[in-house]
Amino acid sequence: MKVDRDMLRKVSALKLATPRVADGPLQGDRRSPRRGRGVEFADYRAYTPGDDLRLVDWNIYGRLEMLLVRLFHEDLNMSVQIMLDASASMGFGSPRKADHGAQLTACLALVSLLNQDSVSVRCLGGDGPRIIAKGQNTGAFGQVIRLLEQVEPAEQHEPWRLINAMRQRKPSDRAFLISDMLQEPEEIEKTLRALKGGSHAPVLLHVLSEEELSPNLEDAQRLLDSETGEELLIAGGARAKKEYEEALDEWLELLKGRCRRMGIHYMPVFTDQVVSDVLARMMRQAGITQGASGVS
Amino acid sequence: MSFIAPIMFALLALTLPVFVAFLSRKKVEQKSVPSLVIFKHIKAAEPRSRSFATPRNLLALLLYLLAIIALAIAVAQPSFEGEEPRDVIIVLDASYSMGVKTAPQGDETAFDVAKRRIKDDLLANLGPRDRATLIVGDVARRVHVEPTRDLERHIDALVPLKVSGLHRHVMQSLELAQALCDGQKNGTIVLVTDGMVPDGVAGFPEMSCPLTIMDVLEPGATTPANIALTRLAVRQIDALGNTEVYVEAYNPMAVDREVVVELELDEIVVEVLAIQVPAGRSAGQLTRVDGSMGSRLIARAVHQDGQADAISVDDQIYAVLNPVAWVNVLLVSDRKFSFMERAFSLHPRVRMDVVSVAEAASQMQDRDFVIFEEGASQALLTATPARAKVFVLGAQPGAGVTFGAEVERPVVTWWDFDDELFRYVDLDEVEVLTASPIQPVQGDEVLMRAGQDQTLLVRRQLGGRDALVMAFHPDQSDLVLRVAFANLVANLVEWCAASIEPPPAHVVAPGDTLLDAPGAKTLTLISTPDSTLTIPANAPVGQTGIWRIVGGESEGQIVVVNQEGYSESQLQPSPKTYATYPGWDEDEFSSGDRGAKLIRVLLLAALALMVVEALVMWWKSRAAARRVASGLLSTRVQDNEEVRR
Repeated sequence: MKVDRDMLRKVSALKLATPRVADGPLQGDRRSPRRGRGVEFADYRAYTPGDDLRLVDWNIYGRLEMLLVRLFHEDLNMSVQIMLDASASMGFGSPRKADHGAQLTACLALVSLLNQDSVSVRCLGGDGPRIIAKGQNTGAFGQVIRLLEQVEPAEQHEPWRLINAMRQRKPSDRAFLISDMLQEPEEIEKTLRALKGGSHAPVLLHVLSEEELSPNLEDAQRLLDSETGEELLIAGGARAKKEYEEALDEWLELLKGRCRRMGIHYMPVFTDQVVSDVLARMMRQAGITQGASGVS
Repeated sequence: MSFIAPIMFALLALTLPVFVAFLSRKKVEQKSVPSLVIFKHIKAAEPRSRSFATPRNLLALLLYLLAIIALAIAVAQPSFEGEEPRDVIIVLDASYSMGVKTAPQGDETAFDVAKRRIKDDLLANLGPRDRATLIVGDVARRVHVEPTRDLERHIDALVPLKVSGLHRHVMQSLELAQALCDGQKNGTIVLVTDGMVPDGVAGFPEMSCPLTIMDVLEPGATTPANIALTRLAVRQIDALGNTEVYVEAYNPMAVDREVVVELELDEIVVEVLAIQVPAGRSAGQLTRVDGSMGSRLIARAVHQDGQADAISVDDQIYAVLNPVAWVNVLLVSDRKFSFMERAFSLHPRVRMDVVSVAEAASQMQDRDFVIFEEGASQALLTATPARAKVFVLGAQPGAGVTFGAEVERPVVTWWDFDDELFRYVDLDEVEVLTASPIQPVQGDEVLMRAGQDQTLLVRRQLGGRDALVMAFHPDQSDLVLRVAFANLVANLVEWCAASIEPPPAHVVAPGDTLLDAPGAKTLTLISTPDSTLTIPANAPVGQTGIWRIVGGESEGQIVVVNQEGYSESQLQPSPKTYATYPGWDEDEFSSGDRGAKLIRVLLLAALALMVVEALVMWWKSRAAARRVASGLLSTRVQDNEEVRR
């Protein structure tokens, strides 16, 4: 899959918004629920013997003659999982959905790594190394790029199995699934459930190309499913086009409804959209990304 | 090899549209899409289908063409030399001789054997494409089962058949078979018979189609015993019905036989005869019967204990006696007592009514003889039936006769001795009390005179009727006391009966049709009182016996049906000339008909080719799906391994 390195520069100023208080294992640039040493004041509590006297707020003692200890937010990192669907259906579109997805993946990974979030990137299926690129600093970014460039969309797989396989002991703070979700409703249900089960704040970046949105149905044609090999003869014509549009709407509504029910943030991404726009504008509007200063 | 229906090769023209369909088959674009998940839900998506008649590739085209060629050859009906389908016309001899039992103690007749052999030997050896026709040589002489391959129809038709014909009917059936055979491509006739044809092969009609004879009797079979009544002749010898009867019997056996014959007249046995008949010859006997007792005469051979008789149809023979001519007499008289009435009523052939003058006019219908003792008038004469005879007794000027003055005691001096009226009538010394002599006119026949110029009896026409006019009433003389009077009355009855003509009896042979009875509707069998058989008048009369005509101008007339001579009674087989017509040979008759087998093979091949073509197409589509599926499977295996790690 191709990754446009120029695009990476455009998103380097972005940051992933904290979906809830982060609880990553490493110290990062996120608020954690745990209180302890840090630079940001959080609260007071009563002094107990053994507390660090440097934490006692003497100003309050002077005023209220009460011994209170200052508490600070301990800054921890956010765990981010990025899963890119590399099934055969992602190989369609111009540009290919897989390439567009890879670009998104790379951008999201870079943004997270720049903000010292713990990132793991995996390609679901496809033809290439089946590894998870992990890291917390930009040094891991090269691994991510290599992974993305080595994997090609191919064949069919059951994403929910692979998503479940990636699940850690603790759910990740944010998980991104970049996929066209061209699956049967039962499979969609399982995939979304697996996504929700592995993250506190899952996001479905639904990549769609012109192939899906407005296929050419003017003539009768024999359609071959790129993943299952099934064949279907379509009569072609205006009626077929109309019926397809209605079926597509219905399918999209189904997907959105499922995401809504499971608390998964749904965001459609079209291959004709610029990735930087997607991250900078659309995802910012959705509260998924924010500027590096922390302002949304 | 040849072909029975070469025109069916026109089916090969079907290859053209198949070719055209193959060349112009619509190449539907095949396109790979990311997924069919959404496409499957639209109605415009059709399941993968194909036009049956359009081959998709060269292999399919080849299979199609081979199937069409196989079908065309099959439908053109190939046939190997010598095994062409045949039209077999079966003629079954149903003459009376076939009713003979083939074994002395057995129940099977020659006809039963014939039916069995037709079923087991003939029909069972027909080829699958052969057709069979059944003609039964009985009185009907018709096609019983039309040409068909449905052999069950023949078997069902055989069951109810019975013997009912003569040998000439069998020959006529052969002529019918010949006519049918002429129209067939490969026709052959098989005659199933006992071989008892009176004239042998010479009696056969001209046969141009191959004829084979299936003899149902075993070679060397013994001739069964049989006796036949061959003639029954009757002659009425007087007006009272006395009849001479001559009966003749035929003995075809090698030993002399005494044949006992009963003569039955209207169900009453009137005579039993014993006729000695030499071996191989005929003999007869003459007797008399009182014909006034009835009209239906049946001579019936009585078989004594121990005497065998093979055929029953020749054991009785029929004749009809002329019925006694009844004379219907009307006596017009107001007298309380009349000698004429007494005398006529005693006559056995007279049916008499006595009416007054006033009632006479209404009683004239169907009269043969009207006697006016008084009251004769022009009106009554006109009312008299035209064919009736009239007798005017005494002076009755109303009859249009001129009588002279009454004379006393005229003496009969002359009468016409030669006239039939006076046969056995002696008028010598008859005393007449009074008489009114008749004035004769031109045309009168004077039959009796007194003296030279006193006419006492004339025969003349009165009102167009034959009439006798007597100048005196017999009661006025002693004539009534004499024998002459009885004879005169008898002669008068004869004079009237002569105008009554007995209806003729029609004579028809068994199987013939009554032709000379216009308008006749039906014939009813009246041989015996319990006969109930009725047939249409225009149908062949199959059963021997006495029949009555119903309907038309011949209503009531009699038809006598007797078998002709002893042709059916002679049970010695005629010399068989199988040099002319071969005997039936099962091996030669059996049909191999490899052509039919070839047709079945070709049809199966055509079907198999179409099935193979469908299977090949199905396999190809599945192979494509399998290729995709195998790739998915390897992916899943790898994924699962990773999950396990």
